[in-house]
Amino acid sequence: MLGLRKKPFSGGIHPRGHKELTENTAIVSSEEPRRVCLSLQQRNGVVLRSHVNVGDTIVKGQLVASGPNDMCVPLHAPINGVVEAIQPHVSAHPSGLKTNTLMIKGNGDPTWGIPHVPCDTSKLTPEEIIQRVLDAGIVGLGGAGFPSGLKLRFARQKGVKTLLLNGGECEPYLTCDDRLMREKAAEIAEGAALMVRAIGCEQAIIAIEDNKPDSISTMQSAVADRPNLSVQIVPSLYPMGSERHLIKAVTGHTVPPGQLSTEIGILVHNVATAQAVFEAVRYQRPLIRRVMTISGGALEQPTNLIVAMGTLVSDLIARCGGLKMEAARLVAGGPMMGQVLPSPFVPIDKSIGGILALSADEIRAEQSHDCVRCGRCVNACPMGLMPFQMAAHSRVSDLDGARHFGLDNCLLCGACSYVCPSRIPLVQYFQHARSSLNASRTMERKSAHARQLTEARQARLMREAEAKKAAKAARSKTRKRPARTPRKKADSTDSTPTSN
Amino acid sequence: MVQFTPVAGPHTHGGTSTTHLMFLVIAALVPATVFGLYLFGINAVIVLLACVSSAVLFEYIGLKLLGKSTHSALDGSAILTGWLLALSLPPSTPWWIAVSGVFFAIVIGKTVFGGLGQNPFNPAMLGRVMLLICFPVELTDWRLPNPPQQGADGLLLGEQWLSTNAIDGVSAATPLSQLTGALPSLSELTTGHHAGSLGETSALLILLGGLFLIWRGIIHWRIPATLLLSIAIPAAISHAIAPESFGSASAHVLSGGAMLAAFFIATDMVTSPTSPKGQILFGIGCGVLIWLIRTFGSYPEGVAFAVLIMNATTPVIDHYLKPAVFGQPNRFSL
Amino acid sequence: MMTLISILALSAVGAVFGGLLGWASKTLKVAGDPRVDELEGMLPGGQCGQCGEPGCRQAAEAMVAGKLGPDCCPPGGRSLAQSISSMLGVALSGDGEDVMVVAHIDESQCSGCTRCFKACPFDAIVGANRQMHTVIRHVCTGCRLCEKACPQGCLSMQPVAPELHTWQWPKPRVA
Repeated sequence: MLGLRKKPFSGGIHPRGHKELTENTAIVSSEEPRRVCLSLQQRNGVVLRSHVNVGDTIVKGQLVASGPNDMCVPLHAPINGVVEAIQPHVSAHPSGLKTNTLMIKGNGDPTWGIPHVPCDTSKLTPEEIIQRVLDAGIVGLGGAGFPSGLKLRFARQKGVKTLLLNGGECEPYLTCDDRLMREKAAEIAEGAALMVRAIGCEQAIIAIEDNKPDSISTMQSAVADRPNLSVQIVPSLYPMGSERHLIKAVTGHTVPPGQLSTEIGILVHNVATAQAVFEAVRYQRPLIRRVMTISGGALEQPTNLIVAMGTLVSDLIARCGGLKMEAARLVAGGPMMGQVLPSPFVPIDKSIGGILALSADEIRAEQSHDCVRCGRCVNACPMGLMPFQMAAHSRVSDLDGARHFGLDNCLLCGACSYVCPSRIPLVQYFQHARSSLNASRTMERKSAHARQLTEARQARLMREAEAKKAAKAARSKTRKRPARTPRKKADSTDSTPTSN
Repeated sequence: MVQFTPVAGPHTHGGTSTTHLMFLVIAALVPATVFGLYLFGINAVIVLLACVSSAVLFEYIGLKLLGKSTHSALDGSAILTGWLLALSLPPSTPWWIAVSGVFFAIVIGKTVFGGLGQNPFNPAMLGRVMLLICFPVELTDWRLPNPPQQGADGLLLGEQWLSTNAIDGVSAATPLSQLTGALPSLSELTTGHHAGSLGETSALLILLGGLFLIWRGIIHWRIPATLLLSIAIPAAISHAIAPESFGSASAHVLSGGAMLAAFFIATDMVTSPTSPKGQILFGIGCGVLIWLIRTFGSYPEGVAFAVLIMNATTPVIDHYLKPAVFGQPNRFSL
Repeated sequence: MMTLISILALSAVGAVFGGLLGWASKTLKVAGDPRVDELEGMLPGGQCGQCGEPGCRQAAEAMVAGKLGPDCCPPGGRSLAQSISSMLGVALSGDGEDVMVVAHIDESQCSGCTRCFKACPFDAIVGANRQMHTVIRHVCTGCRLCEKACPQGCLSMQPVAPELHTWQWPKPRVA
């Protein structure tokens, strides 16, 4: 409290961990789901094209949908079964909007439809590794959901020197990365080595928070015989999992606002992504399942599960023994930055790291009061912003004022809301301000476009009028010439309307 | 009932509430207050009770008139305002003067601006200044402390201790009005056995309360430290040059309302800046102004004026002295 | 005597300054308001007439004169209204989010008369004579000109449904 312990960055908070619910039980492989739902639209609005039709029989690992470019990763069938329908279904987005969704009914057979034999990874070129990562449909498993293959390719072009593997897992409740590091340390290390080769960088550092001693020791022994891999312990402080803050804690460098970490020669990937990269490169297995923490005080048996993509949240809750008390909210992700689920029938997608069924006691939702300007949010903000000012300006829709106090740099990490004694929903103000800022930018672009179009139209109409005139003039000319000889009267009557 | 409507995170909370903060501050004030009551007697008790109860009453009425939730009448903020005003008044103040000060502090200082969080000026100091201007005689009528003595058969309560009549007591000069003359000893200044406001006399107990607040993270050390330093430094320099006309640093820091202002008044959340740089500037401004007013002004004490002047600069400070954005080179963001 | 002198002196001062102001207001008068041109440049320029004025130029003049509110232009939407209100220093009434609409052609009813796409100032409708027409949804500004032009009544304005990337977080409801 008195700043006696050196913090790697200013701000940040120590939320109650609740990790004891799941950290000491091994990852359980859940049985094949009866039904999976794969949304054909990505969060950024891009629509994927389905390669299968209703009634088709598909096998586990088969490519079922792909996007127009590399920015959208391909979708693979997570189970063996039959395409039941392609229809709108609720997606894992707080709005609860329905997106076109591929529904697959499973037949319970857990075998891969396509054999995945291990290959000798040492013979692969960097571009082959990147292509395999892209083909496997791997996205950042930490939550951002950016295609990992693109990140690798970009880092290679930028000449990145250091790969940082994020084992911070600073969100309360979530222990899936922790368990993965304990149980699959060798695979993570191998995945990290593959990514190092793909980027062509010098080293990979696996950063782990100091509240995960078992992970630290397992990872340390896994990288012992790899000279370009190392493990670094970072203090546990929320939001350590944020890319910029992890870089500061590990290397001491800061990424200037508005720039990417590759500018200073660092690329950050999640440890779970490294494990997925290993599977994708070694076995050419697509990303169709991930480890996920199913936890929360309202849940009977909090567990870390291996979950097939597209499994419904309701199935996962049932798998974990169901609810033992009334849940106040279902949350996808951690309690700090996770999004509230609009329905229990939401399917899991690649960027969800956990499902929490939180009781009212855990959420502690209370009536909010006026801001007393206590400044706790300013002290807690890891980005050095002034959240209470941003919220006050957002409340009256003064978006420029909100940007003056840092709206554009906000991580939406929620540290400010967590400490606010007046319970002001700061993050929601920022979300609201961000989305209305986006909307007004789109609107501006649209009206600029509309202005161009009207100008173009006016020019076109003028051109057309001119052309018509010219054509008519030309026509009257051609008529005039033969008319020179006998019938002069008729010609003059003809030419009068042309002048109009 | 599961909530499915969109609500942004975090889906958990640290558990601190405004009420919690306010009552911690009040708790930190209790030692200095109890000591003040012990020194100055029944009338001090009456002043404190009158201030606190009328503050809650005025706040409640104000909120009713504003049509707001009356929650914040009881969240401790009104109690704190009344309490701080009581501590800054002379112990012999008649209760009705104290109540009129509270009225000004709460209604004019807070309610008319829209209630808690909206007031630009520290309400307690506004009330104090209003009283000082309207009732200059009563507000500068200082009494020597008259604590109960240990007698043969229990505590002996002096006549003055029990008196509620202002005329009875023995008037005395406060250390501030004789900064360069015959001062109480340093130990008297620290423990508080001298004439002065109800709760401002014991520098030690106020310091204890302040350190408690810093330890609990309610206030930050920046404002108290810079405020006290920027009183002490000019005082020390001027005292070294001309001891006959300038008071010493220890006299300045330990006497009057400097300690209370540093830890409890200037650090008022609503009216002080929130950014680290802003808090340091605010503390320096308060400290220097206190020293200037005490030394060159016509009033012996300048805490209330200095704090109010710096309160007026808070919006400007908060607008320009934003904290450095993470990753940006640390510089003034003008 | 003193009173008289003061009265005279003050009246003289008043007269001099009054004269100065009167002279200045005549000689320093600016012909036309430069804000009209600037405002006209900000408007979409579709001349759709939804504001009640015959064209965008007239609308700009009316807004500068204070006859029209800054939110009079439906195709410009909320963001245009906000930039106009900040430019003119006029408060924007209401805080409501406007509902975006776009034209929709019921293609089974369309006779291919081409009137709607001739009416469209933004070329947001494509089609040809006796061919079915259709609306380019992301270009349409919802100006409703085509709606009036359609003789079949097959053209309607439909609200734009939010999508994943256009959905807006609601403002928190706070006591």
